[in-house]
Amino acid sequence: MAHQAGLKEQISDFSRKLTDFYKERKYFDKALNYLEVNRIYQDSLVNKASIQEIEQIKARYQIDKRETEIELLNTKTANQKNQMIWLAIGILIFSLLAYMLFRSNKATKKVNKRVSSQNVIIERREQEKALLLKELNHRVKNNLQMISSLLNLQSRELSDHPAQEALLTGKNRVEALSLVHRKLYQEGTETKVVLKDYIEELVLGLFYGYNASFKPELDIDNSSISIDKAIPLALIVNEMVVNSLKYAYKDIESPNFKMTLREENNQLELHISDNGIGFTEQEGGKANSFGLKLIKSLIEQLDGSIKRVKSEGTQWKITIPNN
Amino acid sequence: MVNDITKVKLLIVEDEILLANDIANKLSDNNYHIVGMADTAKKALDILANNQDTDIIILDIMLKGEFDGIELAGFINDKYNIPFLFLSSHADSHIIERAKKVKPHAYLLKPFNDRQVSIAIELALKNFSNKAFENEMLSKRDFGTTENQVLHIKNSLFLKKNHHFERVNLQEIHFLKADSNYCSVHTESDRFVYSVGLNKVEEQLPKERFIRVHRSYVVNINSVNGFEGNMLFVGNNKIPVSKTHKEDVFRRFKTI
Repeated sequence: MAHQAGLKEQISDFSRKLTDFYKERKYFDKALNYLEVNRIYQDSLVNKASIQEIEQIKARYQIDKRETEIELLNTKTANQKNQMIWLAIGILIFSLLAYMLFRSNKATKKVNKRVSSQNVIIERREQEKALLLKELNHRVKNNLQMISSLLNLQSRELSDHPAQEALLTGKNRVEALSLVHRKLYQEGTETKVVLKDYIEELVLGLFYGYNASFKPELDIDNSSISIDKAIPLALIVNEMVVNSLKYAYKDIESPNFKMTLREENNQLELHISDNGIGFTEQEGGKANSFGLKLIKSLIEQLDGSIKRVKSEGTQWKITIPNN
Repeated sequence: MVNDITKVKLLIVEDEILLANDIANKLSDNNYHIVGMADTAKKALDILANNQDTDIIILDIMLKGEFDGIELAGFINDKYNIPFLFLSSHADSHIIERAKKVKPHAYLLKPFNDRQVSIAIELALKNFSNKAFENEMLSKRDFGTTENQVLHIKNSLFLKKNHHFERVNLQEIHFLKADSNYCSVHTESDRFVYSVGLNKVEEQLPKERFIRVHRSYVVNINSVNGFEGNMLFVGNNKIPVSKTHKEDVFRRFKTI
């Protein structure tokens, strides 16, 4: 019965067989004995199995734990990887955007620079243009002044010569023209002239020049006229006034001269009258034929009409379209 | 006749010689005395140095040489006290701004006619006498035909006659006499008639030297030689003193 611990299963099996054997042979005390032995080994065997089982469970648990940890770690590393990827993508997009911004900034800067440099050029051109225009006006005015001075200087040398009269008449015409220019470029680049300003100036200037002893009666409204029409009109008025001053007032006691100008329905109506000696067409034709021809031609040029109104002295009614 | 009445003296500074000649002719015809014509600032200053009694200067803004008319006006303001007017075809704001700074007494814009020259001179004298300056180159003025302009400038009376001014030195005036709407100025040897009311002339006379002695007479105190009764002896003339002015007149003489 010297049984080794390593053979517990065999002992347990053997003892059961012995128990059964002794039961059949009715050696009950020996059967009991072997039953006892069988039970002990059985127990120890069961013990051993359960321990083994526990060990197994423990081991499995450890393995499971490890596995989950590994899995956790795996997912963690996976997450980190994702993050890294996203970060990289982000940085890439950001730097791309930054670059694009930089590029576009640079481009707009370049464009701005070009625009501003073009603006500078345009501004300089404008200034040059203004300067040129100023210089041109300056020259026109200076030259007109020179023409009138030249005629004046020459007429002085011709005192009592019939040509003197002609030169002075010419000078008056140049001055009538000059006055329009003077008024025109004073107001800037405007191509219209206010009639009142230059007609008054013109008539008063002629009265001064002919040493008239009385004042003209002028009633001129505030209409304005384009330069194309202003110059012919100035010349017409010049001729009319000069005619009156030169021929009308011989032996007239209280001379007067009236001029009214109204604009109605785009029509300029000009009335000019004096209380002078008047003239017949024949006389007029002789005395100042060029003056009258000039008036007629200029009125034709302006598409206007002229009518002599019957009165004492001389009275004219001139109509000119103004639009 | 034109001994006591001095012609108004003018200097023309203009680099267009023909234009300068034309203006000089016009003004000479109008009884002005042209002291000289200059086409540079330097020449103008030389002429002025020799003619310090110049009454008025016509200055073109554009001049030949180192300085333009505006700079010349600055020199004239520093050295002399003479009214001047600017002559120019420029009406742009830049030049007007510069011109304003030297305080011109009038502007004359090219191209101009005789009337505008006469108006500009009148305006310059008037502004100078009123210590005013022209700020607007383009302002329109309508007083060209006023016959009765009287101005007191530097010890002289400037009286407008027809289209020009004449100058009478105050010291040479003995007395002034009213004749309805006219006024006669009496000097040692001459008598000049102007179409100005005596009251208007009197306004311009210095009160300490000229006194009203009668409704029709204003007398220069310094020209009075003596008196007898109600009569003052002035030169070779006898001037009546009216009752209303008597007290005032003789009180003035006692204090002398």
